[in-house]
Formats: sequence, C-alpha cells, structure tokens
Amino acid sequence: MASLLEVRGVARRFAANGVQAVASADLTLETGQIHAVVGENGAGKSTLMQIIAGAIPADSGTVSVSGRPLANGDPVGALEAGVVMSYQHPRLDRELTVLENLFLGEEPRRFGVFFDATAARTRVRSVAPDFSPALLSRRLGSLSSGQIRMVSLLAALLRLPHDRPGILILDEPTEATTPAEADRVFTVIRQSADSGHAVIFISHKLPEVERIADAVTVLRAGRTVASWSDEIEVARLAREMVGGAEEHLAIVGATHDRAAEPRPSALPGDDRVGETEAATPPLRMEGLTAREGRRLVLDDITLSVNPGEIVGVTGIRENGIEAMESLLAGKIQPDAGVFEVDGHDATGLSPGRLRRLGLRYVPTDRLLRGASVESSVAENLIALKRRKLQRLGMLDGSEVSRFASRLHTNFGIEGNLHIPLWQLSGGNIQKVILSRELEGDPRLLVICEPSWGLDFRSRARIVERIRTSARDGAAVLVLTTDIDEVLDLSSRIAVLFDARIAAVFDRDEATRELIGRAMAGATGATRGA
Amino acid sequence: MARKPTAGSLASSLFAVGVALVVTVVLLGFGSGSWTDALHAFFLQPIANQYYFGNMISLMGFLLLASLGIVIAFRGGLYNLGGEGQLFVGALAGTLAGLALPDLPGLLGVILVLSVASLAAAALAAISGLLRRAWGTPELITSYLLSAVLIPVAEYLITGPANDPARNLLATATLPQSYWLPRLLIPSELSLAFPIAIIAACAVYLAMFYSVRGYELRLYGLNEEFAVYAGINPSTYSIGAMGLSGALHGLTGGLMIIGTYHAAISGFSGGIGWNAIAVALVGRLHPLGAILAALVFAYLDAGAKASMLHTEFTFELGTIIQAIILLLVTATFVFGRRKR
Repeated sequence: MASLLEVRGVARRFAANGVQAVASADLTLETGQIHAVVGENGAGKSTLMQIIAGAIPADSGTVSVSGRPLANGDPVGALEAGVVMSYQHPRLDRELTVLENLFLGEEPRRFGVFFDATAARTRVRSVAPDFSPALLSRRLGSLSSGQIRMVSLLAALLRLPHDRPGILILDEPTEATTPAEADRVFTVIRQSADSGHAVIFISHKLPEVERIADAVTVLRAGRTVASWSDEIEVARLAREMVGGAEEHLAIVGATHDRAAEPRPSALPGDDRVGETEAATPPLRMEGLTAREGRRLVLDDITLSVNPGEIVGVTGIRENGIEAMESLLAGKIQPDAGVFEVDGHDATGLSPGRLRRLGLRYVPTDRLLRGASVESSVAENLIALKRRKLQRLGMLDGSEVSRFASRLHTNFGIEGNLHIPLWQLSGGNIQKVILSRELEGDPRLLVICEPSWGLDFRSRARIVERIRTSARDGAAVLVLTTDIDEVLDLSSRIAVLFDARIAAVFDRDEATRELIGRAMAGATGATRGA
Repeated sequence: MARKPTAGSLASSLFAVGVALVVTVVLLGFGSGSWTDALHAFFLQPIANQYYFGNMISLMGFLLLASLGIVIAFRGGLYNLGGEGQLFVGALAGTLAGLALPDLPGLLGVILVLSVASLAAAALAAISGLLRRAWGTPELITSYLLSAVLIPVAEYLITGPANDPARNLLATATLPQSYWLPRLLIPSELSLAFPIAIIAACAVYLAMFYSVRGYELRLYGLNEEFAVYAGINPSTYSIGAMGLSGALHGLTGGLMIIGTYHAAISGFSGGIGWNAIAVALVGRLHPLGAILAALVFAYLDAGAKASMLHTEFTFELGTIIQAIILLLVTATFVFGRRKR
C-alpha cells in the first residue's frame, strides 16, 4: 500500500534571485507519524513544505497523497487531499474572537447565514479537548503570544479531514515559545498523530527533534541527504545537516552539554575590571517603573550593564521581557526611577535619539522593526551609517558599496547586495540585521531573542560575534525567553517575574532549574540587583 | 489601514497601456464614421504639425511635473489625493500675487508667481501631513477633502471678487506680459515650462535614488516603523514629503498660468491633478518612468482631440478612453500588490 505522503525528486528554482531553493527532495510520511524536517538556514525546508501544500509550484518532481499525485501548485487541491499547512506568521485577525478566527472562511452556519457558535464549539472540543472553552469568546488581541500560537495550531487542526488521515505541516511550531508552551504544542501534535493523522514539522531545535520525532528527513542545499526513523539523536542529526565536518560537532556539543562543562569564555571583561568599575555604565536603570496604560509592566527594576559585560534577562514575554524591550526601543517611558544610556538621562527620548546615544538594537520583530524587507540588502545594511556615507547630501556610491560589501563578506551573507531583502532566506535576513547593529564597536547592544530562526551553525557564529563585541568593550543586554540561550551567553542573568526582577544569578551559580523556578515565580529565589 | 503605495511592475504598466490602446482602436471604429480616418487622426494628427505636436508636448510637461509630486508622496508612503486642488489653489494664489505686484522686472515676476503658487500648494498639502502626524488622520482622506472644499472656493473667487469684468470670461485679469514664459513652438501652447518639467524629473530622480534624503524618504515609505528606529524623524517625511508634493503641484499650476493661460480661468486645471496620479503609477513611481508615461497620456489626449476635430468622434468617447486607462492602472496596481 502506498504511503500517506510521498515526495519524489521535487525541485524548485526562484527566477527572481536565481536561487535553486530545492534541488532534489524526497520525503515519505506514514500515517500516525511525527516527521521532523531539519537542515541549515537556506537548506530548502520551508520551500519544500510550501510545495507540498501547493502554495508554490515545483519545477519538477511529484507529490502524492495515498498514492494519488497532487496537481502542481494547487493549494485548494492539496487542502482537499488533506494537506494542511500552518504558517509561521498565520493570518489571524486580532479584532475577532478566538472562535471566529478558528473558523475564518469556513464557518459552520445556521440557516445558511448565521455563524453557528454551538456547532463551532463542539468541533473545537472534538479536536482539542484540553483547549480552555473560556478562551474561545475572548478577542484574539487580548491573548498572549503563546496563546495566539496555540490558536493558530488549533485552526490548522480544525482543517484536517474528519474521516481519513490528514497531513499537518508546521513551520517551526516551537519557535519563540516557553518550554511549557512547547510541551503543550507537542501534546497536541502527538494527539493528532495518534488519532490517525500525520505531522511534518520543521525545527532548528535538535533536542526536541530527538525527543518527539518518529522519523526525520535531513535537507542539505535543497537535497534530501538522509532520512531515517530509528535512533534519532542530536549528534547524528547535526552530522547529517552539515555534511560530517567534525569542527561543527564540537559546537553542538558545546550548546547541549553546557551545564556540565566550565564556561568557555567566562566574563569577557575580566582583565579590566578595575577600569570598567569606574566608568559610567552604558546602561543604568535604578528603581525604574513603567506602565502601559494603567498596568504596571516594569516594577522597581534596578539593573546596570557595564562595558565588556553580557547581561541576560529572561522570563515569560508578558512578565516584563516585552516591556523592557519597549522601554529600550523608546516605545514606552518610565514614570519613575533612573533610566540612563551612556550616562545621559534617556527618559522621553525618541528611538532616533536613543540610537544617537550609542544604543544598537536588534528587535524581536525583525521584519517589521528591524529591517525594510522591500528595500535592497545594501539599503538595509547602510541604514544606521547613511549620514556618514554622504558627500554634500548625496550618498557616495563607492563608499556605500565598500561599506555594504564589507559587512556582506564579514558575516557571510548569501545573495547579492541589490536584491530586495525579502528574497533572502530567514537566516540571511538575520545576518543582515545583526551585521548592521554589531558594526563599528557599539557602546550598548540590546539583542532580543538572538537566535530565533537560526540553525545551530549560524547560531554559533552569531554567539561568537556577540562575545567578540563584548570583548571589544560593548555592554550587551540580551532579552530572551530561552533559558539555554541566557545560560550560553550571559555573564550575569536577571530573571523577570510579574514585572519585577525576581532573581539575579552569576553565571557560575545559575542552573536551568534555578532559572526555571524563578521564571515561574517560585518564592525563595534571591531578589536584588 | 490602507496599504502603502508602492511601485507596480513593468508588466502591469505595459498591460494597462496596451489594453487602453486596444480599447481606443475599437472605440474609434464604432464612434467615428470611418475607421481609417479616425485611426489616422488619432495616431498621426498629434505629430502631424507643429501646432498639435507643441500642444501635446506642453500637456506632457504639466502632467509630468504634477506626477513628480505624486511620485514623491507615494514613495514616502503617503497618498496625496489632493493634487487637483493644490494645483488649482496654487495657480490662483500665484496669479493674484502677480496681479498685486504687476510692476516687477520680468524675471522677478516669474519667480514671484511660481514661488507663491508653490508655497500656497505646499502649505495646503502639508496640512494633511500634519494631521496625520498629530492624530493619525489618513492623509488620503484629508488631502482629498481639503481639495474638494477649496476648488469651489477658488472658483468663487475667480468668478466673483477676483473676476475681471473687462473680459467676457470667467477669469481673473491677465498677468502683465513681462511675466509670461517664452513660447517655443508658435502657434502652439508649448512654453519654457516643458524643459523645466524635464529638468525637474531628472532632479527628482537624482534626489530620490542618490541622496541621503531620498534614501530616508524611500525607507520611510517602505517601512515607517523601521525608519523611525533607524533614527529618521517621521515628521520630516510625513509633513515634508506632503509639502514637497504639494509644492510640485503648485509649481505646475503656476507654470500653466504664466506658460499657457496668463490668467486663472474657471476650470483651467482640467483634471491634470488627477491624471498625474495615473501617470505616476504607469511610470511605476519612477521619475524617469513618469516622463514616458506622461508622453503616453498626452498622446492619447491629443489623439482624442484630433479625432474629435477630424471625425465624428465625440468628446465623451475621448473621456471614456482616459477613464478606462485610469481604471486599468488602478486595478492592475492594486491587484498586482496582493499577489506576493
């Protein structure tokens, strides 16, 4: 009998930038299987998924569901065959209720006109019995980012066929989730597979692949290089992804057995502690309080970042991480306490003025706030440097291309300088943004979620860049919801809970468990600065 | 939220123009006595003699200059739909200033009329930018409404208080002859305004793509939030770009006065402010593309006029052709955007 999904020799080249995104991809998926697709940034994972879902046509190759080939580039046909894709950035309307969002476009009707909420609720219950019914009538905009992610997953589940096996495709379903949220996602995925569907998911987090995948397919440069279903483990995944180069395995080891080993680059500023003590800290907050509307979002925050230091701030997004980003971005203003950048009062400054004080900033929302996707790669690279690259008000062409090429080469950005940014892969867009912000010895660097959407090799490279910046004297503040990331990067760790600093750890005393407990608001953790 | 305006594809521009030509040919067949005569009149008459050719090129210049104003606004992510009113109000203001100070040396008079026209229109357009900054009121609505309110006011002034009773026309008094721009292809209307428009297009091109300000304007238009984080002052570009857009419309109006009409005449702007939007879009919001697009539009206009004179082709059919083009342009522009 034919497998549930068979992908054979699929290839796709993008005419716009000449990139052969997928060269020859094969994938076989069985009913009841959770199938991970892994590969480095730009390996062709997302493109392959979009081809399977019919969102973009393939140049060659076939996709068959239960032995019947799908029409090429036909999303409706794919959906009818039971292929449901859940996108990284789903189209949901924040003004509608959760229930309305879940059934957008295919509402159960009463008398052919009215939205049949009762029938809709029953369907939700049958697909996801654990989903809180109280959430269904809330406005989507009032939910946390983690809850919204669950809603989009649920919307996909509801579109799976009821009477036969369906295929659920998820593009990085656990990106930017807390460990607890990721567990909930996995529970839902597992339930769905157990009830007779099959799930394909893209992930950069190899330990989670090891944990939940029944089978895995590895893509490298658009080709399927390996596919297996027994003994899925991190070391082999990593080896297949990069093509067996030993040096990279060391990186994987470093990222995953970190707790046991001594820190490789403890406190980059060690050798000049005396000097940094005396200098003004590039970032200083003391007893800082801020509100959004009437809600207290930052409460009595005292935190300084000194030159050469990497301070990690972690917690649940809504518990203060988001607010701290808004503060540093100039979106909200403190209503009490000290907020200084490089010794200057930064209260009430516009984003532009903050930049001029030497703040560099990599926002969580890279595509909206961190880049202009329709501008060219070069135009994105020069955004902060534009005033320095001019002569009599005109951009100096040769200076511009020299500057942009330098960043382009130093950071190994693929794709040429003159194509629009959106034509680059997600990982390369990240590199463009990071290279721009890290350039030229910044005084203060605020980086939100440094490794979102990056494969481990790019991630290791970025981590190294951040460390180098710190070693060169930058004060680095990392805002992240990922415990492993703070542990990996920071010399000092502050944990936010309920808008306050719940605990501060030196790198040496911090463990995953301690941080996890403080994030969840467990009492007994030390408070202070 | 309205989608931000961005340049359409070359294919959509060619499509719009191509379909417009086909429709024109078909309409000519039905609307005039003889198809061959009509085709001849439509396509060859505009370039057959100095008079038609000069008038066509003159119109092209005005369309181009006004469309540059649209290019600047749309590239900055701002919908200026008040061009027609800005042009009209600017022209009237310039004329009144010229009439108030009739004894200046010629060149100073020209500068006076043009700068008053530009400044008045710039101020009018900048109000919309200001409202957007202050309260987030969509400039698309305010610029349109301001224009819709002020055109009748300007008409009232032209036909009432500022009317010249000595002339049997719905017009102001005529500006002193020393303020008139030299004509280039007599007996046509073509004046020095045309080369000014071409120079302006080149200047806008250089400023838009090679200057820091142009870079900032485009960045602001493509992603306002990112632009603000990159340290670009949003007020400069919302108010400034609208103001500059208005200034170009006012300049167009002023040049029409001193180049062609020599007085503010009731209804003289004749929809140039509206057609400029279509020209800018067909030209893919590119200053040099606008030169070609303005030529196409002027040619169609001249062709329609020639067909009316030489065959039974009616004025309404000419208007229909222009309306169809506008429809096609906006349709391909708006729907072309949705695909990606």
